Amino acid sequence: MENSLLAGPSDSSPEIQLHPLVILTISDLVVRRTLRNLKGPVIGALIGLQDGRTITVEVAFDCKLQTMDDGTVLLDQAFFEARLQQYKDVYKSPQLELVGWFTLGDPSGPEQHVLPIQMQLQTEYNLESAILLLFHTELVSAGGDGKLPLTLYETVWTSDNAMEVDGGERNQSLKFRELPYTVETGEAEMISVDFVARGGGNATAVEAPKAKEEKKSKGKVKEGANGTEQKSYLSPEDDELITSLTAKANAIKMLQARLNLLSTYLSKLPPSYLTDQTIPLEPNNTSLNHPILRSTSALLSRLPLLTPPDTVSYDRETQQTKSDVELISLLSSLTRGVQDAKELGRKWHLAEPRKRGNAGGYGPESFLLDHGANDQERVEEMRMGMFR
Amino acid sequence: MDTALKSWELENAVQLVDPTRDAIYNYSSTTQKQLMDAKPWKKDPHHFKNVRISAVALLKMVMHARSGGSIEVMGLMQGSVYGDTFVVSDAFRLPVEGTETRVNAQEEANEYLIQYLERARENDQADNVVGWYHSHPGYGCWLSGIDVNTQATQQLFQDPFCAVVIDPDRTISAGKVEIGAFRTFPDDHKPEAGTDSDGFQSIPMDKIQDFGAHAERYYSMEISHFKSTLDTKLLASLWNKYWIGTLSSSPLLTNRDFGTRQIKDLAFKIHDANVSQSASKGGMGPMTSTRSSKPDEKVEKIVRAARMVEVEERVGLVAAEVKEQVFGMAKQ
Repeated sequence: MENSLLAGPSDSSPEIQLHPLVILTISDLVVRRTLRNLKGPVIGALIGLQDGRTITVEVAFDCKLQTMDDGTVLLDQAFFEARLQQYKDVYKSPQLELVGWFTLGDPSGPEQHVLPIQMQLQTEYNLESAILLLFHTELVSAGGDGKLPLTLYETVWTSDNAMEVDGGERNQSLKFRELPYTVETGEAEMISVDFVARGGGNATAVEAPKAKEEKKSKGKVKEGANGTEQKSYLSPEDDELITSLTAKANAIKMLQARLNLLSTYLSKLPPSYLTDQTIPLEPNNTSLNHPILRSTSALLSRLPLLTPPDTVSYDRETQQTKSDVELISLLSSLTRGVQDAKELGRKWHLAEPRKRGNAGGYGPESFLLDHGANDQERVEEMRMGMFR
Repeated sequence: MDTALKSWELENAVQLVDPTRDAIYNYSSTTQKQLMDAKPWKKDPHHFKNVRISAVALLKMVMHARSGGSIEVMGLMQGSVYGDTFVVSDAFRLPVEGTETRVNAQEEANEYLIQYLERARENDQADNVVGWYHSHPGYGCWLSGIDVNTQATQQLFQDPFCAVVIDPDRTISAGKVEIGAFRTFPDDHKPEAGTDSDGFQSIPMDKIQDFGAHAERYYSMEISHFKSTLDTKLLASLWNKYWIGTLSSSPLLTNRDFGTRQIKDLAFKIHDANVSQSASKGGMGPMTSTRSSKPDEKVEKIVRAARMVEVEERVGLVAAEVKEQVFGMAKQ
């Protein structure tokens, strides 16, 4: 289905860097509005930095719409102004500006109803081309196969020679051109996205009030228990290990997939002169994608770089690192051992209260009984006593 | 045109949202009003135990904290309350900085927040403000004297309210979000023996004086995070772009500083526990169980700290080993 509003690709398009916050904000809006049964389109503004040809899209916020008398739906101007100013106030360094807007849309492209708002933004805010981000709800259920269900468009004025010049009006029609984009993250963004992606729990709320009511009836729960609920059998530390291992496994799968792709491509190429001398040279074999082949060759020639030149000291370093880690494990187990011993001492003391003087089987060791004996010494005594 | 309009109007989005698994995003002002009127937290200073923070809110707060650099920044959180849990659904920045030394930063921000909330209400985001967040760049997640006073005041007038602190520097160096949530006790409340207010914290020794001075006046709450099913799918797509970073990271090297700092603090804590242990040596006779439970708490914390350090180192080692296995051609 050809969308009448789409224009072809061009070389002078700006580069867009999209931040994950924008994606999550839009997702949050969608979920919230759906669950709370709010009517009306999901619409909002995008702010970011424009630096020459590079435009970053960093933050998004939702906006209100109003229906004009003639039925067109536009952004509520007052609301929009105020909101935009508020956001600009808090995003001062660097100062972010309005770069575009977002809404939900069909994967085939923007439809007619986005035009009035697009025009409104471009005229009000002197934007040559406001970026339009279309979020495709249909594509989401297809699952995360690496493609984000959104497309970015810029606007271009294309002149339509068939139309006559009419007074001072532009005889050009507005068309949208799809823009490629990359996902950029700052360090902090990356860490929190990482954290949420792995560790974030699901958003059930139905259980929460019920569970809390049960707990309330049991009386005050002591906060000092570090809040660890023993529902899961894995401690948070084990969990962390598992999630990092899973992440690594997934990353390796990706690497594998990419390598497979490369090797399939290479195997599908026609046999080359280099392998079989009987095949005639075909200099105008245009089916070869030379840049790809060059990059692959470069990749292969870099592989030997992975082995360190000085294996002896490299091995020694790795050994040292390993032993450091083991040392820390030992420290942790020792600490646990001390704690266990302490517990043992305390419980023993409760079970069998101390008697002053030469008591029971502690005969000769009674000289160890002094006012300052701490738990560990008592445990020692107990141990000695036990071995008699 | 009709179908396009429909999709614009979100009607097709119903299958994106799972009513059960995403239920926490729902907000009913009537339910909230009922909960607010009941005010169970007035009777029990320890009523709130958990805070659930949404993915968006967390991302916004961490990025704000980071963008402030070494200046403290602050903002507010919107959400709701369910039982003993705060649910934070969104967060927004306030145009004030350096809040550690200025108690009245709140007044400056008032104008801004009134405007902001009004806009939000107009646009059907009527979630109440349920707390505030601010950053402690580099010195950990706890409440300073001023913070405690601010929070106590808020709890008097704006309850239910919670305080969240983020340390962006430790977040970066640890590669994990360093965040804590707190509530203060009313002035006349004595925390029970054995409750320690800091959860586990590695407070730099120079700040520990200030921390220690107010530690009795507040307690920390358990933080958990949530994301919607839609978020999960989007993040899965996003995550594929980071696989290179995951494979090539060297946590042992990058987090060496952090690890060293943690071990140092662990040493301090052990020394501390030792000292207090020998101090309580006098009068060993009838050692009651309650008295011995306090040092046990300390030991428990030390054990947990040691375990945390161990796990982090292990994870780093695994990363290095994986690299060796996958890319190590020397073995072949």
